[in-house]
Amino acid sequence: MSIKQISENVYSIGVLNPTLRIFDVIMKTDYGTSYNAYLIKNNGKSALVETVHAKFFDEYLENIKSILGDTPPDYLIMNHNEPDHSGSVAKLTEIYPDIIIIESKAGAIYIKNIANKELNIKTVSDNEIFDFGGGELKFIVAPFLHWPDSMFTYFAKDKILFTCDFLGAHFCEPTAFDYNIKKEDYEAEYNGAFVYYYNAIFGPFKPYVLSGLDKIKDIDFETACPSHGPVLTKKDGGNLDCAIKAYAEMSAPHKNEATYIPIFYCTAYGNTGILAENIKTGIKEIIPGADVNIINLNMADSASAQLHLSDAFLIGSPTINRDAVAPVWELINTIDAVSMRDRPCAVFGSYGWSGEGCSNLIARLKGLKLKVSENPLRCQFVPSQDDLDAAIEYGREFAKSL
Amino acid sequence: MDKYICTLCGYEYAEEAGLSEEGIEPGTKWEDVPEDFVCPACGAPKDMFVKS
Ligand SMILES: Cc1cc2nc3c(=O)[nH]c(=O)nc-3n(C[C@H](O)[C@H](O)[C@H](O)COP(=O)(O)O)c2cc1C
Ligand SMILES: [Fe+2]
Ligand SMILES: [Fe+2]
Repeated sequence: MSIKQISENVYSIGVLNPTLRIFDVIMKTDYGTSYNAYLIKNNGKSALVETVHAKFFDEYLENIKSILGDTPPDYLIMNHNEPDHSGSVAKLTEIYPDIIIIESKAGAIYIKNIANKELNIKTVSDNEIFDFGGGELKFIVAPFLHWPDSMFTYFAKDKILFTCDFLGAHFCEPTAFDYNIKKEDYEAEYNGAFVYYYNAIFGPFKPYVLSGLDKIKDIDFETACPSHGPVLTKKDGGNLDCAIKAYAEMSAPHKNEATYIPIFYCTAYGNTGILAENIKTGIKEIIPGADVNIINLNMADSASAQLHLSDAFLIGSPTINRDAVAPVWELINTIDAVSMRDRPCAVFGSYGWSGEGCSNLIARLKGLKLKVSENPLRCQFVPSQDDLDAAIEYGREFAKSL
Repeated sequence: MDKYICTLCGYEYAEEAGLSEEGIEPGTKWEDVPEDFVCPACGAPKDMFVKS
């Protein structure tokens, strides 16, 4: 049991998972996590905010009952329906069949496919105000923070904003409050986890982070209750203002001074590298001011960052055993398909007889919805003078298409 | 009458047909569809739609 009172009418009823080390397949959680959930009580009415991962349902239910006894909660507010928060909805509604589930419109679609049973759902719109025991709950729809269903819930009476994953971190803080982190001297660890979480979850959605911050800027809240990690406060040692400032800074749009066109390649015998040099010549003829950076993937370790900073890019690979080579695929596997959508790009490479490398790369980049040129630049074995001329012309055409 | 496609999932809204489940009458122009409309298939907000 891990109940904490957050404010006069709000309790933390979530569960701690200190030993978790991998979340959602791809995220490392060096400091474990918590699946936070909350209970708001007001004049005899009660609302749950979020459930927890299905594995922890029993502890969650025990927490609810230790506050409400045998009285069923009236509402369940789902700010976001990822299974770490929605996983217990089906079980909860078996215990409380009359509970009304408050969802955004997108959330209402998702929860039906997650719980797979009849539910009492009430959908809410942006800025909708809901009477809750004479106090108000306000819903702020915040799409793509980080799913289309995301929203925030504001409880004005206690000046609390419930933000689900927004402002969260995978950081198991047993006391629930941010100011204890400073006291215990875990600040560096927490800050690292906070930034890592932002990058993994909100990095693809920076414009939406900025609009989300804009939507809450006039809301008078002193506490943010996220669904992972500590509750954020403005108290001494609290992190709320810093966290909001960090989100704004990390989401500020990046603009390259000169058009940045990195050319990535891999090569076994140098042929694909020669094509890269000549493509660069062609690009520079058309856009003399462009910053064209040739990056050999056998030697680079920051290639993924360069790729994401690019305005456009090219990627080259020889064909080896009927495919492009592994370092090229590894780079492509890092592509954030959300923020890279429609990024202009093209592929090139030397081959010997069948040459599938380029067409396989094009298919993959197309699947990620980048704006990839349908025609690769290919040459057989060692580039001839004609091939070099074709590479320069290819660079010119690529630059003109931008 | 135009058609609009959800860029997340490919769902198509046809102005001619409207969407009766959402109370959107046949013939409703895209600009008259409420701002808080979401894709009935995947939940994407209205600004994720493009004209097809
Ligand atoms: C971080 C994250 C991002 C997601 N993004 C998408 C997405 O862009 N499109 C989509 O259709 N589903 C998305 N999903 C939903 C998953 O595909 C869905 O939860 C699926 O049921 C997971 O399958 P699994 O249980 O086999 O892991 C996302 C899920 C997570 C956790
Ligand atoms: Fe999430
Ligand atoms: Fe989460």
